[in-house]
Amino acid sequence: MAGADKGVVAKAQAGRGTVEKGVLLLPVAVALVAGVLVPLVVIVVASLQDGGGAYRETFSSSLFRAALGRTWWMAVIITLGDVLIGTFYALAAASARRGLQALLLGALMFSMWTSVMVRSFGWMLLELPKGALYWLAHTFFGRSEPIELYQTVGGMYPAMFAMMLPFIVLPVLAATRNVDADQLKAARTFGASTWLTLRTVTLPAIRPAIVSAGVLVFVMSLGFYVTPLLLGGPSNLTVSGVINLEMRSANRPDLGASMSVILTTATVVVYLVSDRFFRVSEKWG
Amino acid sequence: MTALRESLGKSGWAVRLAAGLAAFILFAVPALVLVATSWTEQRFALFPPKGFTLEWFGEVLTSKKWLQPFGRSATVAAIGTALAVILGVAAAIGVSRLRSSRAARAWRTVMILPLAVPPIALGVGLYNMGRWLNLSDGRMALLILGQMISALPFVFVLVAGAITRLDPNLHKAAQTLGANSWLIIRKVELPLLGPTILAAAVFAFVVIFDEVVLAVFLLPPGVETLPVTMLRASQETMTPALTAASTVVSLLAVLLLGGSQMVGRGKKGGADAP
Amino acid sequence: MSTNHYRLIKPLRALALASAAALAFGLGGCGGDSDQPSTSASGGATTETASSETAEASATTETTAPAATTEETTEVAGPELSGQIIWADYGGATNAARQAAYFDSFQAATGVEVVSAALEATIMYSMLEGQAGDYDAMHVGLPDVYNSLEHIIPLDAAVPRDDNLPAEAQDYAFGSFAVGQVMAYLPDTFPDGGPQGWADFFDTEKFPGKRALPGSGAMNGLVLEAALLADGVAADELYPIDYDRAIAKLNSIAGDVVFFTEYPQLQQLLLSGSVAVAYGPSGQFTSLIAQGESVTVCWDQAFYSFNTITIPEKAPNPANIQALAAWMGDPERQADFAQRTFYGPGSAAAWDYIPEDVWDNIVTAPSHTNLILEDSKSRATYNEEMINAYAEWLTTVG
Repeated sequence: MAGADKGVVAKAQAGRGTVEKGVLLLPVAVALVAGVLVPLVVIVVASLQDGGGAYRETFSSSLFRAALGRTWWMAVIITLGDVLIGTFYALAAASARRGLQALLLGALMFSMWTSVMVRSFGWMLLELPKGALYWLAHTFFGRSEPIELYQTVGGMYPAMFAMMLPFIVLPVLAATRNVDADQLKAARTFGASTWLTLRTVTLPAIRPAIVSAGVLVFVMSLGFYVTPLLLGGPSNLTVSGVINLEMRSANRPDLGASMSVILTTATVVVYLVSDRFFRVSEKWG
Repeated sequence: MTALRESLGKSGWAVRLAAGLAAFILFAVPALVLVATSWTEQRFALFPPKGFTLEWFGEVLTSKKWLQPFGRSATVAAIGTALAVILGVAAAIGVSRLRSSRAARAWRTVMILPLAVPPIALGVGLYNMGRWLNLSDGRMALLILGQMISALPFVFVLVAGAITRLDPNLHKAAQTLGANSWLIIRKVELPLLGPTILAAAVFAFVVIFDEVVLAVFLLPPGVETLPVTMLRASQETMTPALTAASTVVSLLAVLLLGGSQMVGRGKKGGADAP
Repeated sequence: MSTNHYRLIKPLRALALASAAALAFGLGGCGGDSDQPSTSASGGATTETASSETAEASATTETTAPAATTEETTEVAGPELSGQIIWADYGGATNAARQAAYFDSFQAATGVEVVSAALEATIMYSMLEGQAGDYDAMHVGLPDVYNSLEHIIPLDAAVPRDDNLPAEAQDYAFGSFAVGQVMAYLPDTFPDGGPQGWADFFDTEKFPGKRALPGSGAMNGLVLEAALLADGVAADELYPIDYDRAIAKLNSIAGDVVFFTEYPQLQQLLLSGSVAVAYGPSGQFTSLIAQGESVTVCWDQAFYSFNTITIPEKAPNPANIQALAAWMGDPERQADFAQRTFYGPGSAAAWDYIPEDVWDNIVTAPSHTNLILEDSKSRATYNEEMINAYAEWLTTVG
């Protein structure tokens, strides 16, 4: 009798679990179908209009192929750089006294809320051969040579690091809450070095935040377009730039569509691979 | 937090100095350059500014041309953020309940799609979908759907990441104590996920507030959000009104967040006093 | 440790609450917007923009022909007109000038509201291929007009033609304006006389200093043509483009180029002294002159081309837009628009109303005798090829 009861309860619980999952996942499934899957089908259809010719043309386009590699490396550099800068930035903000913390977060917030278009423009004003940096150098150090930073790699990456940095800092800062203060104290009491404490106590607590924020930054960075062209120079044409060129200027929506499909697929593949990889790494943590 | 500060020991000041430098170079200097151009007497933004005038702030703060799109953007971003947070958090919790790791992985992959599809392609897709459905009056809803979808990955990915750090025993313990699933979500999981959810909400809001590609595709003619107004204002001249507008938005955001921080601290102190 | 977290959590929580409040407040406002059949709410905004920017324009250009005086001269099609026109363009000062020179008076005379919208190029192209869409009037370059004649509604017989356009385009385009592709410099940079003609643009020994060029394949303008002219190719033998020769000429100054990715950047590049000579659309430079900056535009060998407005096949309000096209065909109104924008008028008769003291800022002024008209038909044929060639070159430099 009791056994039967247990079975019923278990069944009811399992049933409730299914209902629960359904309620949690169904709305988002509907939204995803309407908001991204159907539009994606539209794009796939557009890309296949001449029976795959657009894909052949895409793959034979040296502009596209070069942009694909360039975009990939750009995203890798931005992600690695920002994960490093962002983690320490967040740790600094979490460990700072009130004044410094307000400055660190205030500067970040002010920048983050400025429109991306306007921010790129600000970096341009800063980096122009006779822009704001030159003005500073000229006013305070009497420099008369123009500054060679605008439209170089060195002029491009700081701006892109700055644009993506908040997406690492805020989640990691939120995750510092998971750091166990008792463990930190214990580590200190037992004389563990700063580095060892960081590695064994702090880092495991914030690692999921770093990884998930890093994934977001990587995928977002694959979409960079205006900033690298403006600040790095026109040789930094990214895939998004080529797609815009085909769709908005060359009137080749089929090519733009096939390039979009390829970029999306490549991103998903990279994501799947890294998801597998990082899920494993989480088990180590 | 003090424990974290102490754990960094002597290297702490170096970390904080480096972060301060990063904040100065990456955030403060470019922002100051932009803000400076907003008080120039010239008709275009250029550094160094010439003279000083509040004319551009006046234009932005008094003309309907700027205020109306600002209000519309704030409204659209608020709706989109609320939806993205509800759907994204629900999805993250729902996926964590899935037993099949293959299903979970499929979900995680689909949830990244909105970020992976180039915005212009998403715009073309949604625009054509709207035409087929003959959605001439529902275009605003379609725009909110599209922008909400673009913000969804931020909420899902961050919250799903934070869930992996939750102690699985908490869930079991609560269940043993007879709590049903909703109670567990409400009383155990959401409070622990709070800081991450709120960070994700800020991202969602910022992303939607600044979204321009889908807006140009889907907004009904004559209706503008702030980024569209800024785009159209910037086509022929970088007018200082643009930098003034973005200065106002940033200041407002920092004051709002900073102000509520003060309030929060005051309340916290009061609650802790006894 | 928790106090510290509250510093982050609390503001964020407040933001969430604020969002929720805004949501409640916003649902009403938003619904109201989308339900409105036309755009009475934002129409007000557009008008206000126009008037404030008009004041700006008239303050700087000194002479502004009053638009209202011409109202009686052009009769408007029957009183049955009503509703709206969706006008898709790129905004900025040009849209404000249209509002002041054409739309305001048209609206007052007919009651038809002209609603300006941000033009999305992919939608424009789909409408030029015969698909339905919102736009009644679209800002289109002449090459794209030539490529899409079968999906453009020809102008009614009552619409005055822009007779400065090539004959075969006149039935398909109105509101046209001539834009120069020119070089410009600050007079201080070359006190002994600046570059004249395209050969000088590419001669960095005779005229040292950085050059500004477009940094996107889409904005290739007439750069390849300018390079060929500088290299000695005759103006009537430019097409098909000899890419090797053009690129070689471009490469000869590649080390001295600063690129712009949006046109307004030209103003920053030039005025900050970051470049010595800038290549770009004439309107960018003449608007600086109008604002009191001292800038020299080289009109010798300047290219000019026509930007036009076309009515797509599936325009939702064809009767209204034909009436507006007729309104805009009036030479006096075109003269007003030309003085506000410094773009050359589509109607030859408009020159009678443009005072001679502003001629020099307008590319197609009769006083500019050595101009080269863009061969828009050839550009129509080679557009994609040229975009790709220029984009390819860009990836090898900078």
